[in-house]
Amino acid sequence: MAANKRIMKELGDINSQPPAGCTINLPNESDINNWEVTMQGPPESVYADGHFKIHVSLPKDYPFKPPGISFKTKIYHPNVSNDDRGAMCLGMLRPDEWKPPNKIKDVLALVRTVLAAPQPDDAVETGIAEQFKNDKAAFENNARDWVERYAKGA
Amino acid sequence: MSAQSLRVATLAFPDPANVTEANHYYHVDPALSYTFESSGNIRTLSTNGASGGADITGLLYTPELDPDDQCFNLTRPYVPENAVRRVDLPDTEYALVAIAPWLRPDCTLAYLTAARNANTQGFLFFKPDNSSAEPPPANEVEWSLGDGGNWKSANLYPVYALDGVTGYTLINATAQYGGNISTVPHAQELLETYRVGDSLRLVVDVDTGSGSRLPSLWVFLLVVLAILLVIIGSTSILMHWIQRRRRLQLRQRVVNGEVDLEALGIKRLTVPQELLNQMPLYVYGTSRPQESPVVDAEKFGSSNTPNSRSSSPSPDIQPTPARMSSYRPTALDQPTCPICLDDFDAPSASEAGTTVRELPCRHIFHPECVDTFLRDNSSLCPICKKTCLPAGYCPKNVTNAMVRRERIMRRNRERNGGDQTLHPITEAGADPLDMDTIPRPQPSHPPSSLGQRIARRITSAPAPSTAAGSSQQMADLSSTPRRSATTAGGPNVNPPADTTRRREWARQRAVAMLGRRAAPADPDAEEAARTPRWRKVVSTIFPGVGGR
Repeated sequence: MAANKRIMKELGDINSQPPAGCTINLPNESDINNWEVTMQGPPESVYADGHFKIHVSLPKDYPFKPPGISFKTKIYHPNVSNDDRGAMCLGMLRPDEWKPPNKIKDVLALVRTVLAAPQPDDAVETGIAEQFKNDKAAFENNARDWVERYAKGA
Repeated sequence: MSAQSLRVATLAFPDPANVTEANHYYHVDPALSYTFESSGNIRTLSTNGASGGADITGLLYTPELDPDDQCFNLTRPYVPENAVRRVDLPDTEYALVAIAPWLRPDCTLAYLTAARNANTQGFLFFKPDNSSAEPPPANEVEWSLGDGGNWKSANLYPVYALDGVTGYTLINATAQYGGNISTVPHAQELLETYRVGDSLRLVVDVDTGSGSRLPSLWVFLLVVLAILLVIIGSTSILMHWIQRRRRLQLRQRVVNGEVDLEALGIKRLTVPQELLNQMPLYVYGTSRPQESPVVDAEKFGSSNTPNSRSSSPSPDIQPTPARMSSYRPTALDQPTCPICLDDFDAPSASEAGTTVRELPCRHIFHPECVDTFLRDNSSLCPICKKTCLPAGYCPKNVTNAMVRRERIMRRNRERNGGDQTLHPITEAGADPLDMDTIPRPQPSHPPSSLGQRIARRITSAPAPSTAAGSSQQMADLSSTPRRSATTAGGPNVNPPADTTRRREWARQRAVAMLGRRAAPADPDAEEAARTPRWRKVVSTIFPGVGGR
C-alpha cells in the first residue's frame, strides 16, 4: 500500500530527525495511522513550559487526504477548540488546500508556529480570540494558568 | 340504475305464416290498444345487468313453472289462465321482460330460474295483496330469498317490484292481449289495419333514470387518477427534456471555456484513465532534456497529444517573455516523488531507472502514485494545483445538480450585477471582491445551505468567445461606448479570445472571487448527503425543481 509505505517513510524520517520540540509515539505499534505527538510549548511563548499531547490521525488514503490534528491536552488558544476534540484549524489541512507533498513534519512545524503566534482572525474560539486581541495580559494569564493546570503532567 | 317509471304499450306482430321478413312489428295506435304508465310505485330489487341510462325494454310474459312443482299450483290463482307465455310470443329472439307474483321464496326462485332460459332483460314481481302503495324498500326482510342475496348475482337481469294493483293490472292485460287480434278490445277497428293472423302483444319499458348516467365513484376516481398521471407524466417528460437541454448547454459552455466547474465548486473533477494514459511516461532523467524550453502555461491544458512536445523542443513554440510560465521545472529538479517520498533513480549501468509520469505542469511523479490520486481524488497537480485536464474538458456525466449549482451562481451574478450581462467584462478585474456587495441574507451567521454558500462564491464566465472576440475587434475599430467600458476595468479585464486562455482567465477569476474560502470536498457528495430521500425522489421525477 502506497499510504503505508509513505507513512513508514515519514515515521522513519521524523524519528531520525525529530522536529524541534516534538517526540513521536505510536500508541499502538501495529497501527501506524494514529500517532501521538508530545509537543513542547515554543520557547518565549506563554506555552513554553507545557507539554502538549497531540493526536495525529492519518486517513487511509493519506497523503491524498489531509491528516487530522487534535490536542489531547487542554490549551487556552484561539485556534484550538476548547472541547473533547481539541481540533485545530489549519488552512493547510483543509481538504481543498491540502497537497500530498506536505509532510507531517511540516504540519507539526506549522502547529508549533501557530502556538507561538496565535491567529485570532482565523479563530475557532472566538471568545479567546477577542481576549487575545483586546486584553493580551488577561489572555496570557489565562494561558499560563491552563498550562500550569493541564500541561505540566507529562 | 334504479327504476324510475314504467310504460307499457302494444305492438303488433304480423302472422308468421304469411310474412316473409322476420323481426317485424308495428306500434299500434295507442287510442285503440293497451297503454299503461306508472311512475313511482316501482322498487328496484336487483340492478344486476342494468346499465346506467339504458332502459329495460321487452315483451311482457310470465315464465312457465314446472307442473310438478308445488309452486305451479300455488301461483295459479294469481296468474290468469291465458297470461302470455313464452310460446305465445314470436319465435324471434326478442327481448323479454317477465312478470310474476311474489309468493314464497322458493316460488320466486323457481320463476327466476325459469326466466333465465329465455332472453329475459328484466323481471317484474308483484305481491298479490291488492295494495296500491309503493312496495317496501329492497332491503326489507320480505324481499329476502334466504340465500344471502345470491339470487341477485345468479340472475343476469334486473329485478323490480310493483305494487299489487299494478302487477295484477299488467298480468291481466297480458292475458287480454295473449290471443290473436280478434279477441282484443277494439278488434273491429284494428282489423281494418291488421290481418286476422296478426297478434298483438304488450311491451314494457322500464325507465332506469338518467341519474345513473353519472359514472360510479370508482370510475370517477379512476378517471381522475388517470388524468393526474397523464399530467404528472407529461410534466415529468417536459422537465426531463428541459433539464437535458440545460445539461447540454452547460456542457457546451464548459467546452467553450466559459465555465470552470472545478474552480466554481460545481463539481470536483477527476482525470479519467484515458487522459492519464496520454500524459507522457518516461524514464527519469533521460528523454527530457534538462534545458528544454518551457511550453507556455496555456499550452499545458490544451495539449491532447503531449507526446508530441515531449519528444523534442519543437521550433514552432516561440516562448515570449510575456507568455512564459514563471515555473520552469526540469526533470532533475525533482529528485523524489512527492507522494511516496521515494527518490527517483536515473538509469545507470545496473538499474533501468525509474519511470515517471509528467503532468502538463511539468511535475513528475511515480505513475502508480499520481494516477490513483488524479483518477480518484482530484484533477489538480498535487504540487502546484494546476489542472491536469485539457481545456474544455467536460466530465462524461453532467448532472442536474451541476446544472442547478451553475444556474444559481449565474442567477446571483445577474441579480447583483444588473448590467453585468451587457458588459460581462467590466467588473472582472476592477472589483475582484465584489462578492462583498452581494446582499447576504444572514450576514452574521455562516451560510446555512449549499445554495447560499455557492451564492457567496459568485463568479462569472466571460462572454462567449465570439462575442468577446468581436467586441474587442469592434472596440479597436471604432470608438464605441463599449470600448470605454472595457478599458475602464483595467488592463486585465478582457477575457482572452481563444478558448484556452479564456479558460485560464475563468479559473483565475473564480479563484480571485472565492478567495481562500474552503470549497466543499465534493459538492455532489455533500449535497447527496444532505438531501432527504423524498426530495431525491421528487427530483428524479421532476428534475429541476428543488433548486433553491
